[in-house]
Amino acid sequence: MSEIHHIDNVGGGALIEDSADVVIIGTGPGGATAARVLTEAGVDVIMIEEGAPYPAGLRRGDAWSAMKLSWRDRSFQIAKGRSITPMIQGCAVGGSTPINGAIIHRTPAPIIANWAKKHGMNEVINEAGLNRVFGRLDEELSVAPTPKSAWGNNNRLFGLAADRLGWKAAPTSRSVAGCEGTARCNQGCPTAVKQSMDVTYIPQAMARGARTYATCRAEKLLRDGDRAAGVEGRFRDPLSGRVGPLLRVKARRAVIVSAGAIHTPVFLQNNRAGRSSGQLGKNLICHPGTSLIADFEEPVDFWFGATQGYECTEFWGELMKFEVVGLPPSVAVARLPGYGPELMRSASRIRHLAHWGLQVRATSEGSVRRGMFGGRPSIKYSINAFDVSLMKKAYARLVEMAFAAGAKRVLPGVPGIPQVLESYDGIRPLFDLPDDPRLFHCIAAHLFGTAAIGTEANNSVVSETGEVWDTPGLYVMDASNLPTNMGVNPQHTICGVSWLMSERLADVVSA
Amino acid sequence: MRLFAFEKRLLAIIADAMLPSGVPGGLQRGAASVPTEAFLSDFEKYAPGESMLGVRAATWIITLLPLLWRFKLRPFGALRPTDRYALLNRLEQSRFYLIRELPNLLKIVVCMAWCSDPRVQRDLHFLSPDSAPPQWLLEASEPATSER
Ligand SMILES: Cc1cc2nc3c(=O)[nH]c(=O)nc-3n(C[C@H](O)[C@H](O)[C@H](O)COP(=O)(O)OP(=O)(O)OC[C@H]3O[C@@H](n4cnc5c(N)ncnc54)[C@H](O)[C@@H]3O)c2cc1C
Ligand code: SF4
Repeated sequence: MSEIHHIDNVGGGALIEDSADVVIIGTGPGGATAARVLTEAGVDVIMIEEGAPYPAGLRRGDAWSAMKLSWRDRSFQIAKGRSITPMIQGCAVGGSTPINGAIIHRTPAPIIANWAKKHGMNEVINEAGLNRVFGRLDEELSVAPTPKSAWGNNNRLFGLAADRLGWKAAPTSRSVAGCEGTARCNQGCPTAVKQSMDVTYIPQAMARGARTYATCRAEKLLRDGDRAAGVEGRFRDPLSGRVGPLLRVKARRAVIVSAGAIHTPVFLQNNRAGRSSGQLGKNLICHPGTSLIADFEEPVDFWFGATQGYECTEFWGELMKFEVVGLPPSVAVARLPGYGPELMRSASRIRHLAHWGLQVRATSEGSVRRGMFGGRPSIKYSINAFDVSLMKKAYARLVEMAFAAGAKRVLPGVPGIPQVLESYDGIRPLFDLPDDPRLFHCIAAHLFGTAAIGTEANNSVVSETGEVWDTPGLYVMDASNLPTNMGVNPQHTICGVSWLMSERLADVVSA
Repeated sequence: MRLFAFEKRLLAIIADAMLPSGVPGGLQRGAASVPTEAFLSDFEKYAPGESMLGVRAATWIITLLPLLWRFKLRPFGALRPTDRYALLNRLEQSRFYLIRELPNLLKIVVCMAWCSDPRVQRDLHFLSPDSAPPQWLLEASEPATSER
């Protein structure tokens, strides 16, 4: 198996050339799964990844070190709208998976049914196909409910709350082989037991002959007539910005763009592909989320326990879902209200604080446009009044959970609401506030829809096979091709859809 | 985008007001025990220009705001500590979103610096603090970081 090529080991020449049947841009769940399926079918594959390898030896507990090495824009990628919404993504070998919570959900049946009805997804992407693939994914990525030994108090109290309220909740299913409960999933698993793509499908594909070029941003689509025929990219050190050689790879059969919901449309826009419907970069949808802090008499020690080891799906039908979130410590302190002595006193109670979050299946839509002169993309997203009203309802329920579990105080961090709530009644004034997106500090980590699947070239960017309508041989396989959000964590769906599309592509290549 | 050395000092003063040392009933080691200016040198190398612009704007606005505030007529750094805390807490409660967000952006940056220090991680009782300080902290404060 070859090692991962990157700026420090490719030498100082001006040009590196290679060729393969299929070239994949991006190594998140979309790209890595495609590499896994295609190489198994005997297809020769090259992967190109802008981020660097992020091995266990580099992973520290402090947030800044992790963000510097493995987060897109060091965690400062934002969408602008009526409020500022951080749109967080990974930028490393493995995409966002080295820093994600490893929560695994199958695509809910009503969502698949809706895709069939409204987006014509039947032949390649359907319930039977997805369920077959989910079984394989579960097995290969060690998916299992978070074991009790890795709960810690943050997760245990959440479960207790749901139990007392009679709400449907369970330890989250996660793709981890032997979680030690270090609560550091978002900084990168220190022992690499999390089954992110960098320790699973990427090495598997490489063992079957795939080559990976990391620290290389794909910039130009090479064409043969109309057809996608390869990719050019430039090596660049993600930390220093030092520029390395040009990479030119020929794709004998196909190019797959798996650069994620923000950078896939940017690559297509830059290369004048996927524009026939006018939908490229539009329809940016997500699951905005926010969190609360609950203060317990007993120590919670949220730094022990699976980062996101318990969830409540009681209100999935009402477009909301609750999860434990083991925040990185600096983020947890920054979330505490107040400044000065007040903040230092709250920080001294950090052992007693639990962190729980909510996400909503939002109806709001935004857009992504390539930046000027190759700069950062312009992301627009405003949470609409309906979604804010959903968040209020969800927030109140989360407060209810905290008190049900025995919290003494809740620190909501919502302007217009007292900074400290001592009972559930304290949250009621939230409903008198306007449905304004600036009420909550939201973030979005589940982003979709900017190069969506559809039935025709005039209403979508790609067909059900993932092929871009106006550019033969060019495919999109990642979160950007999902036409709707799902209300559940998306990694498995992204892998599943990519798997089915890649099986189809493998048939085409071998034919 | 880089901050000037004096801008880093202004921000270090704000950091000290956000997380002051020696608070009775609070943690004893505040932001001043971590070389915030060294962190900022690392941060500004890597953070996107737009975020640095936000950091710079927030630093200036918070520094100059007291000139207009309740006849204090002096910059943030010349206020008494209690007035500094009061100002930051007032900004957090502002009706205006952007005003609320100004100190919040700095709080995130300051907390990232503070919690990078394994000594602070131990003060906070983390189960497994980082075994060594990050490179920027090592370079900035060899003697301080070897202290337990
Ligand atoms: C902090 C966090 C926690 C999360 N937790 C969960 C969870 O618990 N469960 C879950 O299901 N989902 C979770 N998610 C979401 C999930 O990880 C993403 O939805 C998923 O990884 C998206 O997959 P993708 O293949 O579309 O893109 P990504 O995983 O984002 O990968 C895209 C890759 O493409 C690279 N790239 C971009 N442009 C280029 C270019 N031009 N050239 C070369 N490479 C390029 C990027 O650097 C990146 O590595 C989380 C996300 C984050 C950020
Ligand atoms: S909780 Fe810790 S050990 Fe478990 S997967 Fe996450 S980082 Fe790894």
